[in-house]
Amino acid sequence: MGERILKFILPTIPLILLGACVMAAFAAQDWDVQRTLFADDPMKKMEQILSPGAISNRETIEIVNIDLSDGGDEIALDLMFHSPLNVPVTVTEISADIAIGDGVGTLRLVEKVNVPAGGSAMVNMRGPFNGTPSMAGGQSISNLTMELLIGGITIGIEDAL
Amino acid sequence: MTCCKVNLPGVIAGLLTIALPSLGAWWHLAIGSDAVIVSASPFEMEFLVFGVDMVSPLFRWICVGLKLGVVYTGIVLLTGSLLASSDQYSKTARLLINFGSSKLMYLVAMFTIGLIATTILANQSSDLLPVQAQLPYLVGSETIDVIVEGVHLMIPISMNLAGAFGVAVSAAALGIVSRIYQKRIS
Repeated sequence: MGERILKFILPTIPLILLGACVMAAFAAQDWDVQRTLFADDPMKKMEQILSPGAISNRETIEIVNIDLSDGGDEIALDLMFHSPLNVPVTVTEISADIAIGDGVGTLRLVEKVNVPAGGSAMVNMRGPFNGTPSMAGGQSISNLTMELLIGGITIGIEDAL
Repeated sequence: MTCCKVNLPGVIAGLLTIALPSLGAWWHLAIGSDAVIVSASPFEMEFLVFGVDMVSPLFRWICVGLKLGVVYTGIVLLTGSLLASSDQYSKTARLLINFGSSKLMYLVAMFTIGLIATTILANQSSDLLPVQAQLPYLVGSETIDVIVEGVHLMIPISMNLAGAFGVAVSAAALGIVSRIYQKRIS
């Protein structure tokens, strides 16, 4: 008789414990099924990763300054990188072609840049320049490629403009 | 009470089973360096996406239930293993050992099969996505290379089993040994 009771009680207790915990889960969230299953609104969680600026019209890349050396054989380009993410980003590589008047140059990133979460950082590019520059003719940037490191994931973007 | 009739494998298995929920995660997964971090065991789950916790409150409470259940199973096994030395309670001891000795083995098996099944699903679903990857099973590293509309992604993935998993396997094995041992001494 005692053995029979024990055979019944032994597996029943863990089931009762598990059932009690499931009830506690719902009770802790005021019996709200969605909150019990998902905690916060999934959209809110995504907003924690994407900053509000990600859905605005703010450009990720903003040209700040273009400078030619005295001899006209080297060009420097300063960009402001606006991060659309609420996580730190490292710009590991950027390259672009720039045309000013009759001259063309190839720009490369001077050194890696760490962009804080949701923030901005200045990116400096340098490179050789050939031809006769003419600021009056305006400038155009093409073939902008960049490589970003986000949380250990490498993202290569071609034609980022 | 006869000391040498104490089910020693059962005592050790019982103590390990009781301690198991406090030993931490059994398996770790990292995507990138900290883009996605998963630390999993039947008793706890950490799932962080860029530091944002994604685990459901219901799942956390189920893990608490499993923790309590496993500690209970360990206590039952330990009690049965100690009672084995008493002729008066030998039937009860056998009942307790039979109950407590196999539960952890089922839990370890289900956890391992669950991980392997998830990896198989992930590997097969890569045919449907622009991702070609063969993820390792349980332990290993892989870099997923994806090109989507001019964007090139390189995603390192690494996974490994923690020491707590080894303790779980040892405790489960000792549990089975204790069952066989109990049949021999009773």
